[in-house]
Amino acid sequence: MKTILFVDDEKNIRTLYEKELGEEGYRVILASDAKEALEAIEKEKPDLVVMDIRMPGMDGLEAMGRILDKDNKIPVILHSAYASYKDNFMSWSADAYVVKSSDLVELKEKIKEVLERCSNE
Amino acid sequence: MNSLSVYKKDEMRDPFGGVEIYQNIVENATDAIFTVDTDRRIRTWNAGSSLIFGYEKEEAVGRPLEFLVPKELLDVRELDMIDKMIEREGALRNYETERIAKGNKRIAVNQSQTPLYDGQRRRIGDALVIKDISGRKELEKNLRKKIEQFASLNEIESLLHRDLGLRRILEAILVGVTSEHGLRFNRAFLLLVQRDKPELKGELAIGPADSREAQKIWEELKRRRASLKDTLASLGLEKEGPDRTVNEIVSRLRVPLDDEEHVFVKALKSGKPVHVRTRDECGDEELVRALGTANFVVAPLIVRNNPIGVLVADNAITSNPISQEDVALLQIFANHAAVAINDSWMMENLKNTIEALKQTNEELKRNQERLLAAEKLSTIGEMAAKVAHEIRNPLATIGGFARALKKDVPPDCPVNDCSRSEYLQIIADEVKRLEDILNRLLDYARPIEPEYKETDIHSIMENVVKLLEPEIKKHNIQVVQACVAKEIKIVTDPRLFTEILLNLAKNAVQAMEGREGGELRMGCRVEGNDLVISVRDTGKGIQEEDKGKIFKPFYTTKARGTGLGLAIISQYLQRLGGRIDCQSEVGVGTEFTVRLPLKLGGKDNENNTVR
Repeated sequence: MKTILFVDDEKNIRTLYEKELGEEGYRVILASDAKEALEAIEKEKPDLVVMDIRMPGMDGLEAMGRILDKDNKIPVILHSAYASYKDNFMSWSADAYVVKSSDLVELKEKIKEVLERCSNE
Repeated sequence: MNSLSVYKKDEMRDPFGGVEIYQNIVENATDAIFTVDTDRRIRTWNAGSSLIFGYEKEEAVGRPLEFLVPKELLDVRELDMIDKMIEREGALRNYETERIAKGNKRIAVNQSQTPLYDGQRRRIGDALVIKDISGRKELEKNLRKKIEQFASLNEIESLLHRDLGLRRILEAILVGVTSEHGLRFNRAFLLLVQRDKPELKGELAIGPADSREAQKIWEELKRRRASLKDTLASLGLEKEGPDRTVNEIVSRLRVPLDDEEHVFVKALKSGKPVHVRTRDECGDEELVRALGTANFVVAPLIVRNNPIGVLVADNAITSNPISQEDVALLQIFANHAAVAINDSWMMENLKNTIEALKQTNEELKRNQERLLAAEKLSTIGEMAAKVAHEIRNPLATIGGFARALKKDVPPDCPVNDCSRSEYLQIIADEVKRLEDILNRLLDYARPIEPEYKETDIHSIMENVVKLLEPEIKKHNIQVVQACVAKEIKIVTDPRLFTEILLNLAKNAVQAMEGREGGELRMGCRVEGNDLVISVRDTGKGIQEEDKGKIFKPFYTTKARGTGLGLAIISQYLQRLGGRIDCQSEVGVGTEFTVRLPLKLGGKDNENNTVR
């Protein structure tokens, strides 16, 4: 079973994704900010991180930078209400960029795709 | 003693005391003083009488008074009337009449007549005092004529200074020159200095073609006793009539201003009227032939040293001599005419300038409005973007849970649960719709840099029609593509352009929903430096009060719509350097006109193809 770390500062979003991704057959770990996320990565060694960008404190882009500094093998999917961060070069090192939507199909597909790519490498 | 005293008295008598003085006065008076007896026979005749009537005393005395009276006055028994007058009033005083002098010469006279009585108070005859007032009469007549002339000229001049329009002013001038009440020339020609080149060109003329026609016109005018005003009023109607010949003449007259030897130019340069009397004086053989006379006056039209034109007048029909006075009067009139023409030109210039100013002003206002709108849009855009992002998170949660819950409802559910699943679907759908709106809004708020490339307008049009085919078929709409050119390729952003055209066409189709057999007409043409693309529908049209708002974001009249379509279009067009206008009539239809510059950065783009 693959483990996904889902990082978002909104509790309701976390609840939704925990349920949805759990139903997809993943083990879901939650983090409500960048600091928690970094700790969770140390502890749980997730197979993939879904990272919100706009969060209080350290933002998702910086957090991703730190994660990749430690272990650049962990795939990160940026997950934001903003499409505009696509233009930020910091986001280019992410494995995918998904704009938040009530329709989770895109995110789920991207997760599957990225995990498959990683296990093939 | 008696005689002595008389003598003495004689010696020292007062020179004014005797009867002789009266004799002297009568004899030497310059007025005619003579007497008639009761048979009206002339009995005495002083030197003044000889002077006035030309008959010596010997010729006059003994003849009847009647021989001094014109026949028509005899016929009406003038002398009997005078006698009756004297009987009634005691005398005739300062009666003005006409008498016949020697040589059958008619003279205007002032006649006074008093009866003479003898010692028994019997009337023995009359004493007459007659003054020659011919000179005064002639003067009076001249004066009256002049006054009349000035009055009519004044009338014309006052007419000239009203804002009549150049054509009517020119007509009034020519009438003034030729009218019976005006300057009484036979014909008048008007040449004006062209405003775009230094040349005198014939503009308008008045006058009969020949003496037969002249006779006809003058008789007609006399019969109608036409006043100047009538003549002016009827002018417009006679353009094809009697003035045709002279207008043909005048239209051939052209004289360059640098032809300093020409009599017209000379008159203009000197500022004085020129009276040409002979072929040699004229110097322009051609002109003499055209006018048919070498006797005419040229009056320059000048305002503050600026040459306006020349006024040419002649008496070619009657061959009446042109007097010094005629020439002087014509020039006075010409001065007024010049001012009137100049005023009319200035008025026209002023009107044009005002019109241009108005247009500039409107353009300025439009630009200002555009600027304001753009400013407002960018503020709205920023705000909208912020709001949109804030909303996106809760929406994602709501919709996501709705979908999650719906999945949990088992497929073989009891009735109640089925409708629950349907409701959840509705929530999910509505959230999806909100999210779509957000996406479009964010597109709108986020500036998109156009990517310019060669774009085939025709193929985009076809694509758009293809995209809308289901709706077009559904509402039985006829599509007409009306392009002037077979091939139109311009450099623009095809993505943005497609979006623009698709949006407009979609609006058009929606406007015709429920109207069987509408027409969607897409046209393109070139206007100046712009490619003009129009999308026209025969739909319900846009209400007058909505017209100003349709390009504003979030404004919509549709039941379902974001109100962003037209706002996005106008924003795209701004990026592409184009603009959009709308014309609409309620119940008839709407036409949107998109203008894209063919020239980018002021230069012809060689990649543009319109053929």
